[in-house]
Amino acid sequence: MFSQNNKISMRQLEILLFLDLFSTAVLILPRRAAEFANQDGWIIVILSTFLALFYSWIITYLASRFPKDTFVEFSSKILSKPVGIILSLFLFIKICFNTAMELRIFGELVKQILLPRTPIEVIMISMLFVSAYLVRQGYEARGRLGEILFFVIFIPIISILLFVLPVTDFRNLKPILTTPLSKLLKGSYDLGFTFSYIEFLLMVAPLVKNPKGLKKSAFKVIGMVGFINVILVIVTLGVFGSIETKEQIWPVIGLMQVIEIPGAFLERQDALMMIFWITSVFSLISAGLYFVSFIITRIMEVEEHKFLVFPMIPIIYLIALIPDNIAETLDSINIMKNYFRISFLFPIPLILIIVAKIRKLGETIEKK
Amino acid sequence: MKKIKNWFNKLKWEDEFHDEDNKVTIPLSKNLDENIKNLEILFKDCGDFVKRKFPIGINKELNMFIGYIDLMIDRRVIEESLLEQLILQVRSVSPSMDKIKSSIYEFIRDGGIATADVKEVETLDEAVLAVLSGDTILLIDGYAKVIVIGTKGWPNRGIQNPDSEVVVRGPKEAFSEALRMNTVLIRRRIRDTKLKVKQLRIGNRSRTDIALMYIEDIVRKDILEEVEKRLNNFKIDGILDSGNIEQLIEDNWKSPFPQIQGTQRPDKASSAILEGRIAIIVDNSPFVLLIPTTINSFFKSSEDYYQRWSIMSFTRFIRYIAAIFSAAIPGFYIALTDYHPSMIPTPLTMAIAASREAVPFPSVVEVVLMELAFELLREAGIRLPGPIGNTIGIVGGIIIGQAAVEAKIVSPIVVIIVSVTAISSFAIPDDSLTVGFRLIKYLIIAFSAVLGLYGFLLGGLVVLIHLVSLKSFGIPYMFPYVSSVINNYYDLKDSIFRLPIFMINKRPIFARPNEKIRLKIKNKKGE
Repeated sequence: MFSQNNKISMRQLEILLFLDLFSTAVLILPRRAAEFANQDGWIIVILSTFLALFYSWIITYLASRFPKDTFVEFSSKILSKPVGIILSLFLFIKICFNTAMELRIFGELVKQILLPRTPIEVIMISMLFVSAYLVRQGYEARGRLGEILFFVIFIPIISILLFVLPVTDFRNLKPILTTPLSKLLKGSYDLGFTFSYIEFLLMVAPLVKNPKGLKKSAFKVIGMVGFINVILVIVTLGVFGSIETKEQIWPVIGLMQVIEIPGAFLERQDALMMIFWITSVFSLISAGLYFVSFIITRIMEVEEHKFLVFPMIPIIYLIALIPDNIAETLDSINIMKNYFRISFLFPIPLILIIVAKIRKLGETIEKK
Repeated sequence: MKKIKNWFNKLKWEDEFHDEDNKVTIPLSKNLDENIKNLEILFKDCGDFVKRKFPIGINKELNMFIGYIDLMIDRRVIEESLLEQLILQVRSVSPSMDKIKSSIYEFIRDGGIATADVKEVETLDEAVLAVLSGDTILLIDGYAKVIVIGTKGWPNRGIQNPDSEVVVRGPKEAFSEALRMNTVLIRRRIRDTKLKVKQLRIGNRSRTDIALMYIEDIVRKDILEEVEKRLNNFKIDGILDSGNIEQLIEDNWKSPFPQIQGTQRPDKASSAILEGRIAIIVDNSPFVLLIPTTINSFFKSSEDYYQRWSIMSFTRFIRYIAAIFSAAIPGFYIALTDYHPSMIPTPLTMAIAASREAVPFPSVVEVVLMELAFELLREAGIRLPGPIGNTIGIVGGIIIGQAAVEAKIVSPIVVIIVSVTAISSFAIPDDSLTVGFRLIKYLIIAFSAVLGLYGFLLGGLVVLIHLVSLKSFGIPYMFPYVSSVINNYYDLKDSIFRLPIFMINKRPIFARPNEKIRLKIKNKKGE
């Protein structure tokens, strides 16, 4: 029977990747961009998109060399099994940590805006369990859900942009290009990590029906996300100006507070717009949970990954509880970033490619 | 201990005359008297079994035996085409009995019975089953074969109007309890030899006839095989309605959503068959099962294709909205009033607060109370006969509703919420899907009551996750909205909106991939 196996189509992968990349980043991006380059922030976003394209080129090159393997298998093949497993565990910890921090930020935000009197633990646990429910249904269900959530997330964004555009003051973007080049480069290197979820591509190849178009799809999605990010940053900077943007923790939420839809039934659209935020974070956390359990499944070489989902919940939950408050969360993210973030985007895939080339492993891409 | 053993033995179908599948194991004998003896053992204490042994021939030298179940047969056929022929005419015509004695069996089989539906069986089991299905058996002395004459003709209620899927425009026939009548209703709509009626029997005791109807060159072979595999996957004593079959072969028994569509309308079934779906017709059930099913098929009414596209697209859209409303409104109300009153415009907040002022319960209790009251009303209304049922509606809906508001037990806005939810749930064309949304509603109420708008969203996500993970015979349940790429986004043309009929020129996902074209237009308008 068709679509019986646990595989998704390329289009579903593109949508999932879109949802994953378009996450916390979109909410903090304008602030980070403004911190680095004030009104030139949007240039940083463009540069960081190109950087992400470069990362994804390396990752997809590696992944399409081993279309039947995940990172766990091909790193073991290339650099011997113990090294491969250590690297995979490393990746496991990284995704665990990222997901946990994502969850923590999410919990703080939901508490702040929607549920001021509910303990954050309840918010985080309920989110984890709903994610676990999805993960247990397999990657195919995730792909299909993504297709529906895409509209839930995409339509609010487009409508925000439409409603905010009239109040955007483009004079806030002037003067252009006053930031020194070194600062621009440093900022774009930093913002490039908002795309760090492309490292999931290291593991998806066996989950996709026809992994040959992986590179093209990744480029398409990154281009699209980059485009929306740039517009969002321009609009935010235009509405708030660079100084105010820097001061807001969640500038896009602030953007939602600015707009007033004429004749709308509900007041405070920002809370309503939380819908898109909750769904996109949900897709991110479930992705994290999926790959965490997936890596463990692959390391342990068991077929069924369902049983390994629930043991992951306390791990992520406990990590998420470590920081005391939101500022500390952001700090610890930054600390982790400085040591970890680049590893799976650039150096490790590059080493793997070089060694694979020398040892002539994997399928070489046929040139016509 | 012995008692228990006996009890177990009783449970077993197996005895000296039957095998484990409750099939008769006694062999047919050439001796008529022995056969009659065996039949009498089997039909012992069956008061409805009519039997007669009679001699034929001028000298009454040849004995025959006839048997049937009273009133399950068409008496006229037996009397005019069978008994009259055999008893009266055989005596009066040549050749004489001596000449044909050696081939008397063939003579009677081929020339003695004036009806077309005659077959012969060689086991007693088949003969008994034929009798029990309303056919008549004829045994002739000296032959270990039984002639089965098709005399089915029991009283039934005929073809009536559908009472669950009513349409304004379109045929008004509905399926009935008789299997053959139901296949005829479909056959009359599709006069193609490629429309196959594959019959099988399920149920060791009930031996219910089941017919699979499909068009041979449109249906997907893998799905057909899967259906047959699942139908042969279980043994059961009796099938009383297609609902039994549905629950035995569906993909996910935990889901509140139906994964197989049941319909009462022959035109709906025929249209499904033309799309490449398989119809399972179960004897004694006026509901025909359509396989495979997506959630979209439940939102279609057969009328959608008979009326013009613009209004039907609009109605389709309304139905989807209604489905979402019927599951989501109470939860949304609770989330907003209990957790985020600041999101509601101030005048409305004031109005709600004023109306709830004297109500002693939190809004969750209020809503659940009213929802349950409504479920009670619905259940009571179904059970009571027509006119009294209406009274319940009036008493429950108007009087109690009004009184409850005046007694300050519930606020008027909750009455509105519950009514809108109920009305929305009735706007879904298929009742079995309504049931799913009715149950989901309580899940969403629970989530919203605990976590406000965030919980409402989580509840929605849980439902969505469940829906996307469902499959009906390999086809994703949410099909045209997910994985639509496998049929080139074609099915979206007939989903939330129904495009003009000339645009729906290809068959949906259910059909075999190389049999997609269903409509060709010679001269397109405006060309």
